Amino acid sequence: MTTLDPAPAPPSASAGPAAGGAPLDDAHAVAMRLKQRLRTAVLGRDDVIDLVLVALVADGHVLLEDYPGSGKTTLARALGDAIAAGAAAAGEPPLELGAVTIAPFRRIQFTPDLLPSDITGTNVFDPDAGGFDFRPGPIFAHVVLADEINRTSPKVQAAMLEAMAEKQVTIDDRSHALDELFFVIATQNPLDLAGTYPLPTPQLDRFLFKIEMVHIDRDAELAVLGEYPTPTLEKASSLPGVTRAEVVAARHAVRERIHLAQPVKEALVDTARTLREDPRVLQGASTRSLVLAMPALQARALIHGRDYVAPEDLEALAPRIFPHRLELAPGVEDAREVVRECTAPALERLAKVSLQRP
Amino acid sequence: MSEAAAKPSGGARPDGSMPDGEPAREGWMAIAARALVLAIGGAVFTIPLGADSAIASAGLGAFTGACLGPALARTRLRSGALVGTAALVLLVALAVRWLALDTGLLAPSLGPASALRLGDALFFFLALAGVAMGLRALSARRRALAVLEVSAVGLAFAQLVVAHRQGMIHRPYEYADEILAAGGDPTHYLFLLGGAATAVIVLLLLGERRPTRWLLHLGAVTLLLGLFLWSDVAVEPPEPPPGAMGLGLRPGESDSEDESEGRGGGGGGETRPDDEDLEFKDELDQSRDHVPVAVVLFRDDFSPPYGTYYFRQGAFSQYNGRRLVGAVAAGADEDLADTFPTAPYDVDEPPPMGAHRATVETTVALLTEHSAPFGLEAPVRLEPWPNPDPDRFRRTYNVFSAALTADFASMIGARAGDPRWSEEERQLYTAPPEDPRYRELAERILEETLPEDMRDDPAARVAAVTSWLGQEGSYSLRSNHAGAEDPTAHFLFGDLTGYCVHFAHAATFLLRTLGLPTRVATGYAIPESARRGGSALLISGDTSHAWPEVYLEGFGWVVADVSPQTVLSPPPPPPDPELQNLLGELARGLDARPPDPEAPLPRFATSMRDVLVWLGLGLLALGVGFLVFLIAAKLWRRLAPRFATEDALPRLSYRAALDQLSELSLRRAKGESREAFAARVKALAPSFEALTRTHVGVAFGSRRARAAAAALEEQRRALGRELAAAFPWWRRALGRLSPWTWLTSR
Repeated sequence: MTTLDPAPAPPSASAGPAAGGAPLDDAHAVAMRLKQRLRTAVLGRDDVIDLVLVALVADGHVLLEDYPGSGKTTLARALGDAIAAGAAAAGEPPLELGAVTIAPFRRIQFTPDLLPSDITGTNVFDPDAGGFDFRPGPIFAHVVLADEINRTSPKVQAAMLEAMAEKQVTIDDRSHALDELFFVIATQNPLDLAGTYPLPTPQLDRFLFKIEMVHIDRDAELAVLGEYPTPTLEKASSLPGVTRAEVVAARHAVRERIHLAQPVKEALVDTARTLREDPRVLQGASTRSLVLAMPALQARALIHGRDYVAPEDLEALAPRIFPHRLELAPGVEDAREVVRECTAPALERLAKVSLQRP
Repeated sequence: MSEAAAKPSGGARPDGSMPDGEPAREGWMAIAARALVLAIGGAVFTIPLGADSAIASAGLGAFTGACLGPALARTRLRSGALVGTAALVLLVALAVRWLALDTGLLAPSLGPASALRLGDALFFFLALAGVAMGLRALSARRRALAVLEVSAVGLAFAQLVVAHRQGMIHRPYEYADEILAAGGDPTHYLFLLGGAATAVIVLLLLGERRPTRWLLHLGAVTLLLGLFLWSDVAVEPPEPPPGAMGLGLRPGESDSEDESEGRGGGGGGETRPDDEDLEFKDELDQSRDHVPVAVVLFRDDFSPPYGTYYFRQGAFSQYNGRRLVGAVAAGADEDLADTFPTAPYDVDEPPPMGAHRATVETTVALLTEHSAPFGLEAPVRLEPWPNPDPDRFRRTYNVFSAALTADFASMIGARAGDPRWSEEERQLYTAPPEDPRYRELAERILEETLPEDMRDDPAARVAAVTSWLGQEGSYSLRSNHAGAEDPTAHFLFGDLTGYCVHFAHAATFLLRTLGLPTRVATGYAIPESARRGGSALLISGDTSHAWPEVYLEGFGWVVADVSPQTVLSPPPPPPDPELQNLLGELARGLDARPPDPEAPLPRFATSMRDVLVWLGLGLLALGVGFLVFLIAAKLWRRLAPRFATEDALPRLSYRAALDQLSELSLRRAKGESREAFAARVKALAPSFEALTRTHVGVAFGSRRARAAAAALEEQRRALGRELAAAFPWWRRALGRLSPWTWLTSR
């Protein structure tokens, strides 16, 4: 992955009068603020932070596959804190959705004995009112950390995934909408698989990214220790946050104002087709994944301060978007390598496009 | 080529974007198989050049080189440097050879033979290793360059049979003989052989994994071979020029079809005139001997008194009971020059010079091998002479002859023999056959033809006998005396029909019974008219002759030839005057091919020449045109941004920038994104990154990038300055001059 411009200037610096304009600049500012906060809170995970931000702006969810104590909770909490801090700074009260108050951040620890109602909430009989009262579960939050999602039963997983896909939960035939800003960071432990219910590929399809985290390097680890005794989260809390409205606005700005050129779409489709035809792949990427990929590409362009999707966005994101959606033939291990190989021809074509007469 | 490896200072190369041209590692089987093929090729190449040890070491060297080649290809060296390395190894090989062979360092300790073998072996080992290493490395870098490797191995095989060119199908006998014996045309077999060898090599070397491409290669090779065969049949192979070396000078060639029955031995055609030719035979077939065997250049003008040039090579003076043979006794025939001169030498007993003989200098250039030198009449001194054309002339030497200028009348009164001779010598030259009829006939001849007072005069006796034989005898190549116990008697007292050997023996025996020292001389006799006034005289095989010689005191050995007046067999035709002149010029060291522009070349040669000329011109024009196109395209791409519209500017400006980078071997690798490439060259050319960003942005619909496009040309100029600072001037100049760098920019 090539980071062209690690600290891009705000887009307005080179913006013309007719350019993307203010909404895009604001969206970029939001992304940068979030990035700053997250990087302060979580050290040595810049690539993961970028991906999480992309997923957030693209309205997707991420699955982190990593080891205990690698900072995933910190990351999710920092994100939630940022939204809470933004709201507090703007003087906004917590969002009320019907009878439900949406918290900025909730963490759900998935265990085998968990029930669907433990996450969605349940109708409780209220003897005073003489009727059923909806008691919302922890899923009613802007940022939800679904810890060790593979440890719980498929029933609970299904409820969780339905909520992720539909942005609503249904309890006793009554639907409760979740907020538009509903972002799930699920985690699973790649090694300790005893007594788990691994997510099948169709369910993995609901996550925009599956991010395998590797241990941070030595310097970053030393930096983490260097922060002691002040927790990094505390340090981050002094930075400006973002409001829910800003994030939602950013999402709209990205979808509407970041140019996604036809050749890029073609490359996306070509990549998926190449993947499906590859003998090493039993089941290729779905059309849904391509639809999800578009905002992701746009979000990455935003984070890198561009008002257009560049081939490098596809190059960087394809190995994140596709591998967990593939069913590989027996004996094929490295899905990311397969994806990289299948993306290469489309990227090469894309590289040539720019030199061709339009 | 390792474009991307150009400048290591480029530094940051993102992973996964290795430059192309990085050769993949091959299995050891593939390496060994290819090395084996090259080893065979190397050994085959050395077969005609070196001894067994050299061949073995050449094969070993090629094998070693071919094994090292792929490793060399994986280094960061540029392809040009690879070739340079191979050339260096070749130079080392030459140096080793020079050290081992020319400086004489090894010879004292190892002995000359071992030193020669060792030097040769070392040379071939290193040379073939260098060549094989270079070829393997190049073809490991670039699949297409395997064609060099294939051609090299193919050529190694082809040069084995290169002696067959110009239709000389029988030249290396070992290949063609068996095919000819089976009734085939060796040309086609040789073509097939070479083709099959090449096809096998091609298949081995391409090592294509995909069977479709494999079939394609096979088809292409087959097509090429078919074309070769077709051209051989359709264009008509060149007719072998008359005789070898273009002039038809080898009696062996016309004789090779079937040996004449009279000639038993193999060397019959090669050395002449040999003793067997001077044998008594019933049928002497000279018709096929009309081939030039030598050319004689007259340095002095000389006109023989009896109208014929006699070139003496040997003499028979020993009577063996049946005929005369060469004398073996010491002191006999000491006037003969019997060895070719390696240094000037005089014959042991030159004839008495005096007023009767003049020194005539001639140069003899032999076209066929002879057993002994010959020279005009009585050679007295022989000198070696530089051979002007060793391909054409076997030997050249200078002869000083004591040529008789006196006519026969002036010899009247001279005494026969030499008073200094010992009794044995006199006996040798005068020993007659025992048959009494000789003496009877001789005396009858004297009685019939000479007046009384002349009958005792030796010269008159000689004249009487020879003229009688000339009147009575008939010259014919067909006779029936060979079976007789005494062929001369059978001839003389029979039908008197025979050829020179018969007449010479008859005259000699008759004269010997009269007590005159006589012998039979052998060599060539050519009428003076054949010279046609020029100074060159062409001697052909059918002018070989035997004639009697008589020793007269004060004159030495005098030619006493018989000229039969009845001639039943036609005399040999005179030599072709043009050929005579031409060979004369050649013998003088001048290349005097007929300066005749009208003379048509053989059809094949002309057509081939035309084809080649047009082909060459066409290829040249094509090449020049292509070069001009390349340069024009390069210029245009560089200048296009100046004339570009606003819309096209980002594209054209970036293309020009890519060309600028390509000139310095900075190229985007296949699969590398533009941004990654920009990041890679950032250390050298920071401006390129902004250029890239604007270009890609415009191409993918960025509004802001379009606004920034105005700065593109300024950025490109900055890029030029940065590159100028990063690269030495000569590197940039080379890039500027190279016409094809833009082809590889992408």
